[in-house]
Amino acid sequence: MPKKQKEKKYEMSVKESAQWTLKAIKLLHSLAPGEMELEFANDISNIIFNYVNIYLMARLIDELATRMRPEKLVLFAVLIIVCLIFDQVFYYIFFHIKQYKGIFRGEKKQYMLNKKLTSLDFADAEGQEIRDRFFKIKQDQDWLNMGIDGAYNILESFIGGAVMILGGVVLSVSFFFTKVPDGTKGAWFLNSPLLILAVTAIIAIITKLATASGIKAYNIESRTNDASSKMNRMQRHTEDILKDENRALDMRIYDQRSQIIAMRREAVDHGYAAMVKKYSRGSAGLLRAAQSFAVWLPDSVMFFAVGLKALAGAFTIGAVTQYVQALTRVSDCISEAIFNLSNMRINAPYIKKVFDFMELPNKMYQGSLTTEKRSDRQYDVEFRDVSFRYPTAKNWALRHVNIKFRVGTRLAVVGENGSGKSTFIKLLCRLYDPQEGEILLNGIDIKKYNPKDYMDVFSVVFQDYFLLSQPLGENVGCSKDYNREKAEKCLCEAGFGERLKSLPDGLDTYINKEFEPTGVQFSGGELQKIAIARALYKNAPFIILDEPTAALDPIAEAEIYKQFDEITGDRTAIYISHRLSSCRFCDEIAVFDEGRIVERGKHDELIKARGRYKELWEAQAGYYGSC
Amino acid sequence: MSEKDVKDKKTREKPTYGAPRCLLFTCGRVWRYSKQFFILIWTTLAANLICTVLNFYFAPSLIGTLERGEGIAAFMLTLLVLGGGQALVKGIINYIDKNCVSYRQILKSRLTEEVTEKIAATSYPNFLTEKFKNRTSQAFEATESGVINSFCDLITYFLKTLILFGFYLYFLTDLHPLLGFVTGILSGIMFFYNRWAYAWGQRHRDEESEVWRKWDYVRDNMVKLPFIKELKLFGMTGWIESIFREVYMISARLSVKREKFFAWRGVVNIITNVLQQGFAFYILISAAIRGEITAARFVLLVSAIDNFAAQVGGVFDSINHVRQDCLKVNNFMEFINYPEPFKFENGAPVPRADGYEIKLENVSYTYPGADKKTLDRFDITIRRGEKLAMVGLNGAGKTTVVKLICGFIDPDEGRVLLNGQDIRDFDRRDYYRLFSAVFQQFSVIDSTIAQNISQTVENIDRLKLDDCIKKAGLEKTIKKLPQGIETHLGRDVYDDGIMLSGGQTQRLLLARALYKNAPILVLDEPTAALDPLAENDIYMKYNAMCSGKTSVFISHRFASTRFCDRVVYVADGRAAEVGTHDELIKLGGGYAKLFEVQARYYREGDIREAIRKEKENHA
Repeated sequence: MPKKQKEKKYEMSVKESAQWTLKAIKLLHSLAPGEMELEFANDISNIIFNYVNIYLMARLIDELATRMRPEKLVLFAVLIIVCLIFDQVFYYIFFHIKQYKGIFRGEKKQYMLNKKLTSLDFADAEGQEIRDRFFKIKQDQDWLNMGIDGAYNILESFIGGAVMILGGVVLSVSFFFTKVPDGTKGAWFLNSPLLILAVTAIIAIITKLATASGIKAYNIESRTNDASSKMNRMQRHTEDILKDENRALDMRIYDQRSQIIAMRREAVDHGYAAMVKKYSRGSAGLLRAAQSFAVWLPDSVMFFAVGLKALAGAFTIGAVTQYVQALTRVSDCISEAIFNLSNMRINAPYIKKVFDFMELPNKMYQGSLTTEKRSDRQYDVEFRDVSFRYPTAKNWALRHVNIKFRVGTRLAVVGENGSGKSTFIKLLCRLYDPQEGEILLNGIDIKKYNPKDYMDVFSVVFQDYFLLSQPLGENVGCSKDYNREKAEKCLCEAGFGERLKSLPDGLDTYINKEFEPTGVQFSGGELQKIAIARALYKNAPFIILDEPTAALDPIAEAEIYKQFDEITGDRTAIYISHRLSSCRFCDEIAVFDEGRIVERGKHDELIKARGRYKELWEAQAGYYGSC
Repeated sequence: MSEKDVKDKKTREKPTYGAPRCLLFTCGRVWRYSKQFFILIWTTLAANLICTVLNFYFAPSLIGTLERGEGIAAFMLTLLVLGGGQALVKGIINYIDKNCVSYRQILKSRLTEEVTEKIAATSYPNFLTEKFKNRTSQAFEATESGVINSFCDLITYFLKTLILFGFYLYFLTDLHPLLGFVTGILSGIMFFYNRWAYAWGQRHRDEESEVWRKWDYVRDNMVKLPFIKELKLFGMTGWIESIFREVYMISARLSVKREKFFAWRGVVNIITNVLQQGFAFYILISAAIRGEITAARFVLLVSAIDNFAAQVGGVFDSINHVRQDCLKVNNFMEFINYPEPFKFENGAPVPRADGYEIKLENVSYTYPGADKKTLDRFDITIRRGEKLAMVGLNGAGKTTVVKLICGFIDPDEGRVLLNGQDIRDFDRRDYYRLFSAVFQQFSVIDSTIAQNISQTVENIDRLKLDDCIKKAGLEKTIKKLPQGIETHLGRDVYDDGIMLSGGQTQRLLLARALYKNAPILVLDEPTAALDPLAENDIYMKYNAMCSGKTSVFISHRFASTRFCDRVVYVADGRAAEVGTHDELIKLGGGYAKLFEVQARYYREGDIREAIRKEKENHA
């Protein structure tokens, strides 16, 4: 155990962990109001009827052991049955309403976390550290069962425990005060508070030992957590690989199966299973055995104490069963409370992780200026000596970039992979803020604008555009209630008109089958057109196309090229591609290399300049020149 | 819904293997893979029975000694034997349980390996069928719990409840012949009613699984980076929120329906419970009034009635459990015995030769479920040591040709010949050894770079590895990594894994192909996502690699045609045009047109003007 503590950064105090647990409970309550109250009502009614049953049974047994009055026996039997009816009626009522109140609690929580992640600054949301934290929260919940939901069980056991102890004490209090007749052997002891002390002490010691060995065993067992999570991840990964149709070809040609089996053996046989085997044979196994041995002893001790007094003639046999059962429940509750107290302390850091995540700040400065809505689309955007570096990277992704967009022109952005083209676009759309320099819209630093307003200036079709498996029209309008005519018009402009007519459900056709099995699987080219239609629907003064033709065959590519003029209209357009053919229909070309703009100008000028552009051009044009 | 149920029942096939065979199979597997586990489970059964009996007698015996006034010695002895004994046995059970965990894991691991072997080697066409896909998921599910559980449930559940059922029945019948019978019948009614209600719930799971599928979709997709990007730019927060609400509302609606239905379960349970308890009390109390039972015996009988009632359900339940488990075992067995259309161990070994010629002889192929032939009498010979380029539009059938060449699918008509011999006769696994291939869809495993290139875990030839890395142009990338070739790839398994860029991945695949160094090279559009310089570079490297080898290059770009000996233009599922680049250009067919479409943008002159003119003409 000391070793384990060293591994942890810090141990949370009971008070602190209680605070986090409380915070988690409040959150759970707000996610599913009513669920908790019903659960407790259910627990409490159950406990009460349980005790009533014990009491009535004891009376019945007393009657049996002593006077055997038939009318009393019948009375008690009837009361027991009545008690049973009430118990069950309450149980089913509370249970079903609770089930209803509690639906989607876990999902609402996950959705809340998801929403938080999406609302973070983009640089954070895509950062590995934040994403790891995000997924870890889910992993902890799914695999270790640690986190917000754990608070629920802890509270439940505390409240249930409190009621249980209270009832137990009421039923057993007479045990302590009923006196053994004087003159019996050992009456001084049995009648004095010493008996209570002795019983309590023995049970406390046993409970303590049981809990201690349980915690110790848990700590030893949790040393396998890493190995277990690695094993789980490995199993899931290999299963995914094996099921993946796309991997099936490589799987066979490169005979990946032996590699997969070896990897699994490493993670299971030599990893998790070996560790578990070692611990369960030795310390952890023995401790668990000792714990379960100890857990079963208090019953006997209780019986022993009650039995001694009964033997001495203090009370009846019925009372014996009553006291034993009541006291057993009390002692169970106490040990469970101790166990849950330690559980709470183990769980609280996981709760803290969730709230820490939820409280992550947005660091980007958010101004309040509104952009003027100009019908002439006169928006001047300028990069002034802009440099940008990714948070964890050593090298600048963009360095000293200066560029001014001329309204209504078409700019082609070219360069090798990793030369900074995409970063340039992300800065322009303010997904990132530059570390140096500034970006100006109509002469004002873009940070000073309201971010939503600013983003309204841009429509982007990203290379990795993302359409949801939702109705076609909603994907274009980005909303449940969109303008249907406008969506239709945009789809037509993007060259999707014919296809749209062929769809029986038109704009209400679901894209792909993942969400709705009746959906339609569109080809890559068609999806691209929908993405373009979405950009058109937004009707922003700037339109940016990021590698729109990478996945297309030459005919489809040529089609996009042909439509380029219609798509852009009088907007300012930026076209990113590593297919240099696209440069031919743009007014200007900017060549990126290692984060800088190395050349700018028209195609003919750049060819003459014999620089980077010419090099790139010839690498491609070479295939076509020599015929 | 009910219509679908009927349909479900009809389409659900009868399991191939009956319960006895499944249980025999599973016992054999447990014995084969972990004898310790086999023995420990039987020990657990014995210990559990002992413990139950001790517990049963515990309170009644103690009360009995008190009632009879037998004194402190008898009381203490009973306490020690029954109370202490119980605790001791519980300790032992727990110790065994803990020790079973690792054996269970190993057992599961061995079973999963059987599935892995099958799935990784099965004839590729199996992969294209829905049936096989379903079987795969079922087989994995079976290894997860089903197979092992069938063994454990049989012993620790079914046998245990059966023995205890007999034990308690004896007790009750002893008091009153009807007591056991009535209690049993009422428990039976309750059990079957609950099972029926449960089955109702199961049937409505289809509806609910729709909710979960939708929720999973929203949950997983809304945190994907490309989506977050669009969410910010297009302001989709409201949209995604309303989709979530929609899913939630479906779930709430179903929940009301479910809880309303299950409320009836409460009514039935309460009635049967009351009848059962009432009858038991009637018998017990009247016996007591007649002076037939003592207080201690009363306690014993009350507990016997409760336990017996539980066993009645338990027996049915355990049979059901074992039967369910057996279905899973059946799924597992059916999967590992799934028929193979290809020959493997039973096929001829591939004869070793200096070079290989591959001939597709009037090959036709239709994908299962498709209504159009993808390939229609496709005919081509790839000569020994020849470099062949294959071009065509998306969907023309190029990838299908590759799959035929590599032996992933067999043609519906015609033959694929390797040096004149039909490849269907060969051991397919041996045939795959002939190929170094890079496909559009690849499989990079989340392990180290070295393992991914060499495709082995042990005995990696370091010199060869370094050489391949150098030739593939991956050296610079690897040098930058602190752990070099031992760096993990991907983040599914290792937190320190790295993600390779598109270009780096292509070089990794190249290195892997080099390391394998097989006599036939097949490349299917390896450079789609690369910039021109990288594309050119990779092509040059493949060109260097394939000297003397039979190679096939597939692309919809023309980079490959420059250094290939011959070009095949694929259109409408046929080898429409075959010849050198110049010959095909001269021919002026589809190939020439396709070339022109791309080439025009690289020629001098005002392209925008040209497009405008073309459109005007069109109009």
